[in-house]
Amino acid sequence: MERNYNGLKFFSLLWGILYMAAGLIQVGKGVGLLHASFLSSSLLPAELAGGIVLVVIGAVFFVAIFEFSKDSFEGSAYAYVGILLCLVFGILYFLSMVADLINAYILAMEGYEKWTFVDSFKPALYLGILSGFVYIFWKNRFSPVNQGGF
Amino acid sequence: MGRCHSLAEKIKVAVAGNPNVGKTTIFNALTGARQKVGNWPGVTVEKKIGTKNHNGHVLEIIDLPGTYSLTAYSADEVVARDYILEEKPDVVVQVLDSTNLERNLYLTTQLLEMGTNLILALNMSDRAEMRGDFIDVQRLESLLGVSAIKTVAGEGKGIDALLDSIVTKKEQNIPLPHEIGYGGMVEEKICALEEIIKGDPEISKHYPPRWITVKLLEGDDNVIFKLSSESIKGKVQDFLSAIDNEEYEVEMADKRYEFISTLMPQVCTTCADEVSPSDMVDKVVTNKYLGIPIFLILMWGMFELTFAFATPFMELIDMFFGWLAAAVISNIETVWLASLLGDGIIAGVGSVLLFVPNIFILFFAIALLESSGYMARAAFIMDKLMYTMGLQGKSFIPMLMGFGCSVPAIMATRTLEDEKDRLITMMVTPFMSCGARLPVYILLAGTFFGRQAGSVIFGLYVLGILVAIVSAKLFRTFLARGQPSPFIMELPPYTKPSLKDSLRHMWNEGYLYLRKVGTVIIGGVVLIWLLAYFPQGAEYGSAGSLIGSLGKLIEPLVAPLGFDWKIAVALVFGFAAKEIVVGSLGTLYGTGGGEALSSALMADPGFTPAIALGLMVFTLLYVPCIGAVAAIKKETGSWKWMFFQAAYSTAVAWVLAMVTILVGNMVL
Repeated sequence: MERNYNGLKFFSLLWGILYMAAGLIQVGKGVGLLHASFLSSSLLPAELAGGIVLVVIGAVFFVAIFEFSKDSFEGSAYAYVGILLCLVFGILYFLSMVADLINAYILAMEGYEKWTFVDSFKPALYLGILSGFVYIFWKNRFSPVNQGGF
Repeated sequence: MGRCHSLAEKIKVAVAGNPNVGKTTIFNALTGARQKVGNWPGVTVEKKIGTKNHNGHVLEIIDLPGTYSLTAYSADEVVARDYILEEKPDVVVQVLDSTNLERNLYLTTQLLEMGTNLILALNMSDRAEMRGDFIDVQRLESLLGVSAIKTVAGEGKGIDALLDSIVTKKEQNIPLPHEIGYGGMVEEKICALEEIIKGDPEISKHYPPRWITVKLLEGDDNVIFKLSSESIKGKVQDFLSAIDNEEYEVEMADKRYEFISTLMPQVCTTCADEVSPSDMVDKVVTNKYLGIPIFLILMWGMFELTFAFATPFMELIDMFFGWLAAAVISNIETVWLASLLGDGIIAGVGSVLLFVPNIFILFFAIALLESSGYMARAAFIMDKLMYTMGLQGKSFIPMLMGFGCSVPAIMATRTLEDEKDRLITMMVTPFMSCGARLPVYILLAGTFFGRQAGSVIFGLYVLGILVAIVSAKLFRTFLARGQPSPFIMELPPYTKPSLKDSLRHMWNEGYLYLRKVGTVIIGGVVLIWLLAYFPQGAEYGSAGSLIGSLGKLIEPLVAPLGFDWKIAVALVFGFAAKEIVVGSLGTLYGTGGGEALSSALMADPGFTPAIALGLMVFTLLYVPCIGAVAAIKKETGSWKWMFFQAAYSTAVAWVLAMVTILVGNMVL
């Protein structure tokens, strides 16, 4: 059965750009190449390791676009794994935010006096949430019963 | 009477199977939580035994090591085979991966040849069905003369039927060994050798003579020791010296696969020529360029989670022990007793228990990655790099286990067939950062690197891997020359990680940590307290106390690194168990653990971020704990290698800590 991959291709391109750009900005800020106030300092923090994570995920989406031009199965595989990685790190940052919330408002820990939600609302979290919707929308395309579709 | 007899009688059940077929999940499902862990007599391969009451019968279930065959290529295979041969379990349950039946049936043919009372648990049957495979269970049973049950262990499906089948099977007579025809030339030799073997009166009583004969022809040296008569042994050796074992081994393996290939179309209708999501994920995670970056970001995520999500739990434990120590000290009038309980035991143990949440979260995350099937890919991804540096990809599995504890990881090198590969892997495995070092990292990274602590800890784990790989290259070049064995490993399909199993794994590993707190660590902190409290009149934990004198004695060894006597003492006690490094610091700074110790360290002008980083590097790399050192002695059977590993690792630690501190002083 022939499938239309245009939606997945467009999504991979958009997500590749978003993750790569956010990642490079975080890395740039983390190593001091970009000023800390470049764009929003809270939504795009100076975080070297977190930035590298975003760059790797962005690279997976870019490879997906490249592979779509040759083979739909390979392209879909990269898009699929890219979405899974977005979800894994989205969940990780969500748990981290929950921990910060407890530290700040329940345990009133030292160092968390000025903590706000925005401090934990990092690209991996908000892009991860968006990826969750995408996954729900395309879930069936990646399920085993549709394996022949790739 | 008969009823009473059946109630008392135990049914011994062995669970066998290839690695990664869900064997332990089946074992857990069969036994529930009623299991204990120990070692096989005489060897240090771990065994799990569990019991289960089912319909008035008591089942003693034993989980054998995962093995592809029953020929003695590795220690695991010898253990699995000898258990079946010597202990003669009433029933052997072989767990098979239904999505890879053909490969798994190879072990089945060997179990049948041994004459075991066999039940096949066709695990992951849901996956096989999902991809369109139909397995005709009744046909399989009638062709092989065994019982077969479809199971989905993770969901508990088929477990009751399996338990019923075990009881039924026990009540049946043990079948005769299943014979595979090996063809004219081989059969001729089998007959001739079997005649000689039958001359040994003991052997026929205990083992199927044909099976012994087949193994001898395959060149399985381990089997010849089972012969009790020296004269027969001599005749057998003469017989074997005249033949080429390899030729027979290949011929017999061919015949077994021929048998399986005849069997397969009769029992399995497969439609599995389409790609699965598992194939899709593999395409990406084993990609030549993206594989290692994806592996690294997942590892980073694991440590980030370990650090970030555990913080509130740590705070609660810290608050509790702080309150408890203060309450004890203020309510006990005898000064020394109050100090022993408050400053010694409660503060010391509390400073170690503080890290229980981190340990639990780390092991939970590792279990999730393992049960999903990703860890097997990690070994595959690392194979090329490992091979270049003188190791095989399979060595990465004991090394990964080293993230938990070096002792079982050193034991796990038994799965490596090549002795040189095994020795090198044993020498480098302690560089993998075990769970016991985590408290030291969390304390120091949390204190001196704040929100970047997760990344610092991740960096230490990566450093451990790099030092292990570079050391392996050195050992391969200078100590154990030769090429590593080629890496052959079957990648299991990805599965949805089982929450229950991951939690169980987390508890098992966490329990070992808690048990250590109850034994070695309490002993350690009491000893430190005694040394810190005496002589009478000296200030507790000061340079004038016994511990201070000891520290001053050792201090010159680490003084060039910028470490003072307190750190020297902590490192010496860390040889008993790495966790004690934290407990020692807590005692010596007179604070216990937690925030109070963090504040004291920050207030100490000699304890800079560079020194903290250097101390973390030193703790990561220097001589492993006494348990790991003993394991190296036991596994290599050599004092020389044990002392070499201890000296080499400490020298590496010293040099790299020095480099870290020098660089750290420039950039931090």
